[in-house]
Amino acid sequence: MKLGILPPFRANVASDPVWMTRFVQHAESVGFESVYVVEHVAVPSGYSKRYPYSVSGQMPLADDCEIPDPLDLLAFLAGRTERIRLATGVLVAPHHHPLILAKRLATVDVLSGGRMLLGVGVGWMREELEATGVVFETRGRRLDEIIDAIRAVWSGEPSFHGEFFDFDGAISRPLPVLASGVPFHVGGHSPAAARRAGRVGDGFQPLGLDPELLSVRLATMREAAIDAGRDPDAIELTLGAPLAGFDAETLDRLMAQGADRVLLSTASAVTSEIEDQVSAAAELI
Amino acid sequence: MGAVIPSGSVAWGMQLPIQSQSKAFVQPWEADAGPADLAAIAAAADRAGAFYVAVCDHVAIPRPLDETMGSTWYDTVATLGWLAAQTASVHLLSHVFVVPYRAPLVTAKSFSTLDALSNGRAILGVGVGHVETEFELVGASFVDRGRELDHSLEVIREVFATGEYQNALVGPRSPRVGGPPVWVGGSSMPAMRRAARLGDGWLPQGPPKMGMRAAVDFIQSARAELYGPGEPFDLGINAEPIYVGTPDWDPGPFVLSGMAEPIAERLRTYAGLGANHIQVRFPARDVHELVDQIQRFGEEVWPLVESGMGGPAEI
Repeated sequence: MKLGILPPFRANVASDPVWMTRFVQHAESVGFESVYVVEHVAVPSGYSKRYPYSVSGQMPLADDCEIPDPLDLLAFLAGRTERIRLATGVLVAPHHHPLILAKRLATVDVLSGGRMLLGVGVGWMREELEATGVVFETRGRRLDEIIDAIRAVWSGEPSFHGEFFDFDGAISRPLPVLASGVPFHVGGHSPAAARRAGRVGDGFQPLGLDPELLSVRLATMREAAIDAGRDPDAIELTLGAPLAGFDAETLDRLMAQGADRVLLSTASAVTSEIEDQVSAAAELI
Repeated sequence: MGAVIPSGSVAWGMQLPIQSQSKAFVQPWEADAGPADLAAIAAAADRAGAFYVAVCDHVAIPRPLDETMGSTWYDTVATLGWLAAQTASVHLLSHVFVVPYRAPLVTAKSFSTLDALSNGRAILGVGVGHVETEFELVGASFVDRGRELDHSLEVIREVFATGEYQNALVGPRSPRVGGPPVWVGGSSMPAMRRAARLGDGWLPQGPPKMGMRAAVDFIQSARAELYGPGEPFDLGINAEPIYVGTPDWDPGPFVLSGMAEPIAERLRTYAGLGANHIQVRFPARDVHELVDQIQRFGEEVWPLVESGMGGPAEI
């Protein structure tokens, strides 16, 4: 079982270099496999209350909570760590052009010695996607094209012709460390996310699902993988749990649900408290 | 933000090798060099007192230009962020970031992130780009690139100053009032006008057609007209390649080599034209020689430049 950790974004520490360095180095030292960061390009005040992972429809983040750029933060953390995987969970792909994203991902991967892991999603906040010029309804189709286009560029086939992205003869170096590229994990809660993970994902990161719905989505994911001629067991499953109160029972339940990785989310920003919890979680594995 | 080089002093900086391997300037050893070498060079510049290290920007090279531009160009902000983690005081400059390729909010967020993580060491060097077919790859308009840069800078400056854009939180808030400074790159007339109008500094890309002295006058009088006389501005100049000492190999044409004082004298001449930051580069046969040259430049040459200018300014 792999353990990932998400820093406490709501405590406004994610762009503090001293805090983040200590947090990630400690997690690495006790054996955490990965650190995850999230993306919000812009959060409009008074955004429509449609956050799908809370009852209120609001993100559990204060209005003035700072969210740094995920890839630039991971690049910085790459320079302060040796082994821990550097992951997004998730990066809102439709904000980005695949060639620019391919360049950024490959660079972080090369600089970190092959530690980049990309969790992608389509985003849920209409205003935010519109702020970077994305028509909300196109976000799923954009993500599909982005994954295909990036893989095309990395495979040495420098052309792509899609509905949103169209290019010929694009040379992008450096390439990721592994010939298979940076792994793509599809995040989300919808049937579409499950199908996408099965069809093209190296992993699936379901978000905010109760156990019953989770098994429905996993069945959808597996079916889509088989339809695409892929091995559903090779698609890595990442499930989330709160760090506070994480125990052997929770771990057993997540393993029974098929998790390959548990991503622990943090609430406290009290360093000593968080470090005790992180160390205790690592001991369970 | 405004000027960042202390008033009355002059600074030096350098483009980093390895991260951009255009066949126009790449040295043979760079092809086999990697991240560890890049970090060693940036750390050497940091220790030697460089004001900035710089990383270039091309999102992809359109065929067949890879035959001349090479194909290896690291991502700008990821590379600067990784180096921020491994350096203490050197500034981290994009030379130059092609803003019209990108959504301005993403650019603003990237450089705000870099500035926060580096404790206020980011400098946003911007340009309009010059490779028309690269614009086609990313679906951006080449003919509108100047207007697009102007508009993007408005967005970026607002985010740098407030952390927000039109009531949307972008952040993270920069540790400095006003956020990272913006240095406008390019030696064309539009670039120099834009630098005077929208920049906190200027990064020439080679000597302007009118000559360096006239270009400095042009920018300074444009600044005075817009903002009144005496507003500080960080004005750059490119030096020729420098080799400290006498090479026992051929480092190429136009190399300024030899004893420290004659090299320093030439650099003082450049500062005397009105520039307060000088971009230097060092020909070398491998990473060790380059690190050694950077160290010698910092120890032997630069103190002579500063003392000859009346010493470093009191900060």
